[in-house]
Amino acid sequence: MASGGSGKTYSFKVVLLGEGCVGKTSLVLRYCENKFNDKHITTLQASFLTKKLNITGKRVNLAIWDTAGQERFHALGPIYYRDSNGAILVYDITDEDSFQKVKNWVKELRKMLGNEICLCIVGNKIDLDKDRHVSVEEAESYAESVGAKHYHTSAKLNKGIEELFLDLCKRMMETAQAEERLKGNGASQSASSRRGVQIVDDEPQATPAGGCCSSG
Amino acid sequence: RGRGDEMPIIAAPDLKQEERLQELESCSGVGSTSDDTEVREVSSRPSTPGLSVVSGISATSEDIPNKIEDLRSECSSDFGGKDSVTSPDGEEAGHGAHHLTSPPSQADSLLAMFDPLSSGEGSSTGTIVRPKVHYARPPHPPPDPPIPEACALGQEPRHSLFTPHCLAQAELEHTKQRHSFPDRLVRSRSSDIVCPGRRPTSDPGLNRRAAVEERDPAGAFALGPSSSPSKDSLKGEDRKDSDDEKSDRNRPWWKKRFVSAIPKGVMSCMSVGLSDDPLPRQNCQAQAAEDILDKYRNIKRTSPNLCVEESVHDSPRDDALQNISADDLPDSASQTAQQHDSKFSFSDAKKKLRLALCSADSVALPIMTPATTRNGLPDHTDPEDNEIVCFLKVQLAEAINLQDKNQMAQIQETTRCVSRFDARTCRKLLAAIAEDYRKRAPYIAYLTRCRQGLQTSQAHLERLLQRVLRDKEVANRYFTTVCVRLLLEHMEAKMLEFIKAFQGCTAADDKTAAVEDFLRYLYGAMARDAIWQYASEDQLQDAQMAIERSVMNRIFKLAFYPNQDGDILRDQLFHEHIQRLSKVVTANHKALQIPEVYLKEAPWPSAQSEIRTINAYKTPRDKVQCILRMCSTIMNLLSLANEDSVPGADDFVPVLVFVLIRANPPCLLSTVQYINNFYASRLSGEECYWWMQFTAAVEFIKTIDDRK
Repeated sequence: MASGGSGKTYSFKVVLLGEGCVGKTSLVLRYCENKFNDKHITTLQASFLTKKLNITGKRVNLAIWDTAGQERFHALGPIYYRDSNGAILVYDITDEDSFQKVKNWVKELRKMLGNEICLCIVGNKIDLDKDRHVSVEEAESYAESVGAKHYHTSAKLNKGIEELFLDLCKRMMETAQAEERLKGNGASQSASSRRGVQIVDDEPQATPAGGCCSSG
Repeated sequence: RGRGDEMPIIAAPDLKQEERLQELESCSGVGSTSDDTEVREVSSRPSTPGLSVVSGISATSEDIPNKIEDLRSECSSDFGGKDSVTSPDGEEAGHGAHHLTSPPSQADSLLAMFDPLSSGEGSSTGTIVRPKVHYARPPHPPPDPPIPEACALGQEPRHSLFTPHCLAQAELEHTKQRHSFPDRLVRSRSSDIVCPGRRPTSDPGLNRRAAVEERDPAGAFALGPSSSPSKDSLKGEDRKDSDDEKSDRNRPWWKKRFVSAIPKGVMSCMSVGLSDDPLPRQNCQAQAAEDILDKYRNIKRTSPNLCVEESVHDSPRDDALQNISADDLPDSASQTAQQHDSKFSFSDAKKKLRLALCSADSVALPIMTPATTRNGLPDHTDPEDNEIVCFLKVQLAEAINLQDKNQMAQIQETTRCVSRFDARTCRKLLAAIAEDYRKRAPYIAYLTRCRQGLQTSQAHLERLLQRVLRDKEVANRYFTTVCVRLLLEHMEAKMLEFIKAFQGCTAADDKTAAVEDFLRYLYGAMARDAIWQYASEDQLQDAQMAIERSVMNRIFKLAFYPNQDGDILRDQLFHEHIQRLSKVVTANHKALQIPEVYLKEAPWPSAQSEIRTINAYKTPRDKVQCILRMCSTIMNLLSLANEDSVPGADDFVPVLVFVLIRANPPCLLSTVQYINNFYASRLSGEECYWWMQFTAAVEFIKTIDDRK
């Protein structure tokens, strides 16, 4: 699932993480099909969706992986985000807990994947701003502190979603290009660095993550 | 009412009549194979625009040979047709057969001769009782779905078209009109065919009239304006001989009718023109005209609500008649010509206007006229211009804008024709067109049904095609498999060598590499093999899959259980674990918490049966396909359950876990390991996602404790 950066076409895997009911599915459905709770939805499922983009003349194939957000499936995280180029961490602005969950995800992702993965923290449901329980400042300052970008979206009103995915794609392209350059410098070394980091990171972590599910 | 009396047909003495007879027979006989009632319903269709339309079609395709152009009234121009002589009262559509076969005047007076009730008459006058054609003709397509047979292919199609349409029409109105059917049936048949010379008596005419008067308005209307004076006068001369005779006999009844009909105010102008002096004339034209007029009056009296409509169409004729009276020479040739002229220009204008309307933007149409006046175009809009001309000017402007030369010429010509009329005539013109349109509603309904029928057939054929394609695919695949077997038989030695080498491998990586190498070698050998030289890409793909299947079958035990007993034992333990879970875990178990909406489909047996088959597949690719099928089955069921939203991973994962627990496919852990070893590198896209969900679910099941 690594980016096919060598050609003109990039393939990115983006994983959607966040507690259940924060609107992950709605978000991606709105983005890929421009639909929200439509009675005439033709899409059969919204758990794996793809989107083709053209950004500054480069073709990008985006594969968006929805994940189960319920707490009891948290342990499956490493399986979900393996080989991801980007992660979208969604919380509900009316739900403080969901923001805490995002913080947990960020910690885990940074620990496992380091800076390889582009993180987006997304406060969804801004149409319910009157019930806001997560302050804008808090969320944005937190995002900045962990090197993630923060977005406000509303799947219902179709706000901020295009920007979110477009920004994310651009950042993933930059990461991929930086990697390419690295590869160009010392082919064998950098190639192993990308693969190596992943293997070294994933495998030791995957087992403890499976084991520590009870703690999570 | 038996079959014998249903169609009294008298042999025509002259050729022309014979020709018509044949035509009519084939035409009206269409429905006669079924029982009488149906026949009547079919062939006695009264004012059916569809009929006239049908005849119109044929008229365009076989104008010349039939020499009855003048009979094909408007109906053909319903299609922007080619008829040169049309009468504005196309609504007379009345009897399709009528139009086709005999001049209305004749027909009309002949109508009188056959009383529907005097059933014995037909046979007594030496009728040719329904020629065999009628019976031989296979039952025509049942009304539903109506199948229109080759529409414009001349005579035959016309006749066959006739039936379904009539049936459709019959369905629409038959309750209303049933009681008058037999009557009309006989009338239409006899009127078309009967030769005046053989007519036994004129008395039945009276009876018939009386009968008509009893009919409901619809029935009477059906009889209705089935001919026009102008036509009659034109045609009358052709068959003067017969008409002379006829007029004598008919006088008594029509005169009587005439008097009784006059009082209706609408037609006062007509009466002015004609009531003064119909009797002395032995002239057939006059007789025929009166005959028709008589009919009209009859209609007006019996169905006042139809009068308005009728008067609209009649109006051109009114004009013509007024001309007649003005000329004081009602039966002169010049009068006839004039009458014909005005009628011609009216119908011609109508035809052209219809063409213009056809090509107009129907969406813009209703707002066009007000727009015109609002936009002003004050310079161009001559106050004398009527709205039709205004409308046409707008159309013309649009055509000019689009540089559509054809359209421009057409619209200009229409404008020329229409602008000659005064406002009143224009209104009549519009009303006549509107009426035409209205009259065609049943035909349109019929066409709609035809289309539905065709679409159903098309869907069916597509389905059939899919089935055939699927069969083809299966057969092809089997064929490929056989070819592959032939290929591999030659390479048995190599195969054994490979298996030995594979057995020697210890590390999983080595095994994967060994399999990949050997497969690559076989693919190369296949490419060089003579059988496969001309194989298509798809066939090669199939062949590669067949080779893989074959190879994996040979090494399955070694590849699937690399650690032999260890793996088997592990699988067994896991299987038992799941078995314990399946006793505890229900769909709404707290460890899963499947959303309420989806519980109705629990326990998703179709998904369970999909995954249970997984061990029947030997290659990792087939196993992954099996898993994919299970996942998509679950997704299908979920989206079926919740119409309000699309199921996402939140909904899917708990269900997947539940299905796996319930199905409890054996060797689950080895399956995961096997696929990871031999297929992981080839996974991509959606396949990869569902595989991830599957492994995640297996991982999750490992963590669930049945004690909780």
